Amino acid sequence: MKKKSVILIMLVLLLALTIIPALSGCNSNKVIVLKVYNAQDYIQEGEDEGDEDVLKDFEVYYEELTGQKVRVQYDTFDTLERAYTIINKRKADYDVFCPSDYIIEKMKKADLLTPLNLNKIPNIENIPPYLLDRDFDRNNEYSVPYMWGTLGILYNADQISEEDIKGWDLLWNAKYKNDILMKDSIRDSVFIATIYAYREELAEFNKTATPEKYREKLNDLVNNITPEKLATVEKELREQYNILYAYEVDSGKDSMINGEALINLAWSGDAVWAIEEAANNGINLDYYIPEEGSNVWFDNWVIPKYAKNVDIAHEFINFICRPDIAVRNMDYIGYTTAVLSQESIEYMTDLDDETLATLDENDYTYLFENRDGVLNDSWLQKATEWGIDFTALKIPEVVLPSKDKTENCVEMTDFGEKQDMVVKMWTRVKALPLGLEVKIFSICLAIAIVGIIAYSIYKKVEKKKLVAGKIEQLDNGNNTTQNNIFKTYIQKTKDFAGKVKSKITNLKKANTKTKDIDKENISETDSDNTQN
Amino acid sequence: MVKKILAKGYVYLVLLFLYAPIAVLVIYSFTPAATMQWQGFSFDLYKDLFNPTKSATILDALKNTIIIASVSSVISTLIGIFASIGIYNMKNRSKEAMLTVSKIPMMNAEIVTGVSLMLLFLLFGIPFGMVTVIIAHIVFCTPYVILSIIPKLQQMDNNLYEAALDLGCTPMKALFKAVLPQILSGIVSGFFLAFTLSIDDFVVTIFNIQGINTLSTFIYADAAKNGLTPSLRALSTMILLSVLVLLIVVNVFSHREKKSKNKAIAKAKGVKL
Amino acid sequence: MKKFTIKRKYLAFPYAIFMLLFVLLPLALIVFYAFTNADGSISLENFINFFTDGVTFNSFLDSIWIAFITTVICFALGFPVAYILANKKYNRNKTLFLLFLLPMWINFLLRTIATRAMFEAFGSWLNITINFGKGTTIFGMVYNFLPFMIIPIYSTLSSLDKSYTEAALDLGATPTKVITRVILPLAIPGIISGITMVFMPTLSTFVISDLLGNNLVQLLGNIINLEFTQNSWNYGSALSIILLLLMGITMFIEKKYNNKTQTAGGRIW
Repeated sequence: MKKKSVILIMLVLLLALTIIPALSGCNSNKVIVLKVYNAQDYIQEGEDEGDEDVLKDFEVYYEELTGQKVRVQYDTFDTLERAYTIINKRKADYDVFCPSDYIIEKMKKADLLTPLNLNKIPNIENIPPYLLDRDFDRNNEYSVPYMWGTLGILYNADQISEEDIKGWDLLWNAKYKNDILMKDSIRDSVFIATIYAYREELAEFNKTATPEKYREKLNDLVNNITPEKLATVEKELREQYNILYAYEVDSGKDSMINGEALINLAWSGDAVWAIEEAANNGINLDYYIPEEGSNVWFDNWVIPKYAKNVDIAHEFINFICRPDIAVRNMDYIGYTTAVLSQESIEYMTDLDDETLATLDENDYTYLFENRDGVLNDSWLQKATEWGIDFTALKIPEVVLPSKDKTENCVEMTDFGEKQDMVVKMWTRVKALPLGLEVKIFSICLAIAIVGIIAYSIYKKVEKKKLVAGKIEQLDNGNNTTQNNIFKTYIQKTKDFAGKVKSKITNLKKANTKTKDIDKENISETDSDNTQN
Repeated sequence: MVKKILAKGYVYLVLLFLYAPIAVLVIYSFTPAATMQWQGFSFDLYKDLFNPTKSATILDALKNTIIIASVSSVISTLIGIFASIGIYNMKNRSKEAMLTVSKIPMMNAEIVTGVSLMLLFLLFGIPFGMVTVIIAHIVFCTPYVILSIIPKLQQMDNNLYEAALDLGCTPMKALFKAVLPQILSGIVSGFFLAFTLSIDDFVVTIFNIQGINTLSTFIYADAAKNGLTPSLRALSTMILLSVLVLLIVVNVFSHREKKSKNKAIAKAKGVKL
Repeated sequence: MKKFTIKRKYLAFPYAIFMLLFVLLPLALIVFYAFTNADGSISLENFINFFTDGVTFNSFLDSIWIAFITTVICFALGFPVAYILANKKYNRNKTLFLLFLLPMWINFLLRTIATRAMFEAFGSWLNITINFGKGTTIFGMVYNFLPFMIIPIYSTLSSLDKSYTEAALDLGATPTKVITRVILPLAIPGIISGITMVFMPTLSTFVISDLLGNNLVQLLGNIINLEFTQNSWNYGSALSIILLLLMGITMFIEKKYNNKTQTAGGRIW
């Protein structure tokens, strides 16, 4: 009785479990699901009831606008490479995706993007010319900027001495062994290591070159990778490996805030967040962009090819480009928004007196220049309307790089087919040096395996030999009594086997005839057996 | 005596090694700090955990984990029951072949299982989501179910099924009435084994999941990001506690059952206890 | 009568099809990818790369070494535990054994992260810096897989006939001799399955080395994971084939020793 009920319960459980998900799937018929694919913590999300939440606000906004209910499904990825694989190979049907410049280039090449209809994204006018029409996406055919920033060094200002803070050398400074964090992101780490490896050549070149020429040189250096260059870079990375505390992608900020590590290759937005958080812990962090040059990157919204809700995706991108939403996102994640408005610039310049005292006034009008360096009049007009003088603003380097810093910054481009080569190099960097114990162990292992195989072969051969020998002995007929007995015994067995065999064939024949004969035969064989 | 103390001491030492990290989790679940630093005793993390807006992602991941584990363990138990009865009644060679192939997902490196299933789903164009995860979990759970049922079949009296048939049962009825009760303990332990494995799995899941999170994938992403969401410490404390209670209850029950069984046997034999 | 046995045999057919579809076909896909290059033409270049690129083979040896060390430590720690737990002289309590199973209910990622937290706590407590790397990775592996060594050995030992040891003692064997000459050989099936249950997972894990090695430790599993996330599926598949081969070898060895004893799954729980 008890057991029966157990079975019954299990069956009911099964039924319930298969029905529940099916039922919950039914309700979503009327609601369209917009699938957004973004990096972790890269948009404002409410943690508590009543918190501001950009995604929820969009749901409300879109329903008010069109009457259509939309639910945003927000998925996150850890590295862009993985995200690219998922969209490319798995054909994931994300409606909106936020990759970096070089991935956009790669997706364009692989035909993975839907062209944008910029008429549906009027808020793009909030984005200054400097961030538009970049090399990776001319005329913003496929993408609209979201966040942008630089790659630099985040360091612990309390523990790093002033004289060490120069160039990318800090990341290779053996004085800070086991206190350095490097990015576990191949593209970024290789980029920086290349600049570091060729720093002397660059410095020499910089003495005579104009900013444009220098940038060209830098671009060629980091983006046009050759096997020789890779070999040099590998040597530097290998050297750095020995003094690292960790490779990380996202956890570095935390290690810096806790004081676990002192030096971190960081994206500017992460640095903003970390500096703020560390101040609460009583730790003084700072950020700088090395003078020999760095990377300026752009994270743009795109609509992948497999998107199902292209219209809503446009509306979403337009919503994100609204000045108020942009400031909220910037405030929440720490990165610098691509939307330039009175609100956002006021947010960036809203600093306490202490910080202001340490800052120089810089010219940020480069933001109004298009790719040919021509200032955009309507933006200048906007600036005067806002009453903000962009030629003399005090903004920390980590939030907005000054013009002379951006002059030394270049974008990443896709490695294309050379990607494999770079990945290989990366695994070589991370390969643990084979210790003596491992070598000895491997040799012992190899010897043991060979030994076991040899031994088992030897044993088999011996066994065969033994059997062959015995048979030979028997055949030669050593006239010992024992052998004779053995021989006659074998002969008898053979005879018996023959008899049985013939009986069986007889039986089979008989079987096809009648059952009566069958019976007789059986009794015959029985009597034969007993005789034997 | 000294030896016994030494031996027990050693066992407790190893237990200490196994429980030390868990103890860290449990202790720090009673402090609200984001990182593992003591900031005074409080139940804040537990309150956070049950706040449906604050831990929406964790609770969602927990829900997914439980759904995936229940569905995949039930299905793999069902498949396992029929498969093991079938395999048990096979001839030597096909039996051997079936058992060897079923062992593959058990012995195989998890990453190979995960990756190979991903390739398969891509080949058939099955969209990644909960369904793919469930199929993947069934693949590596079923062998464990089978291998906990087959020993019970071996212990079972082979004539039972035949006797049931002779007494007029249909084969299906005979299976349910005669065979199933005999192997029930194997089925139950196989079911729980499958459930545990499914809940704990990360490697196979990560290669076959998309759009949803299970606890494992959530924790992995979380760890790469900001250490650990503090309320996870509370969650693990609660899981530990409930399993502990479950174990104790099961233990007490089986103890009682054994006692009453012994009593019954003794009564039947006419012996006073 | 015969008719019904045939019917019962057929009960396994759905499972056979299931396995064909979800176990053997995926492996065939892996084999297919491993023996083709990025263009889709058949080649052995992935395997040639494995031996000649100077990294993967080294990482492979390193993984084997780390797995070996982990297995040895697990055995050294676990065998005495299993022996003591199974021996009625020392322990009559089954709950003590259950206590070894309990941690497995906590998500293994959480446990690994907790190990990390423990190291950090100890570090700040004793005021030393702990460098995460190979050492901590091995610690994490031992911590994670020790129960898998204890369980099968315990099950084998607790089902041993007590009279063996008594006989040996009666015949004048010393207690150490009893362990080495009687108990150890009888426990071989459990030991073998314990070893395989520790060795294979440690060889192929990438999670523990990531979390406890600060991404500095690169094992075979890490490379496979990297290759599959960086779009180079052919090479990743070739490395999976290497792991498959190792699995085949362990299955062969296990079968050789376990021929007559219960199947592994039965012994785990």
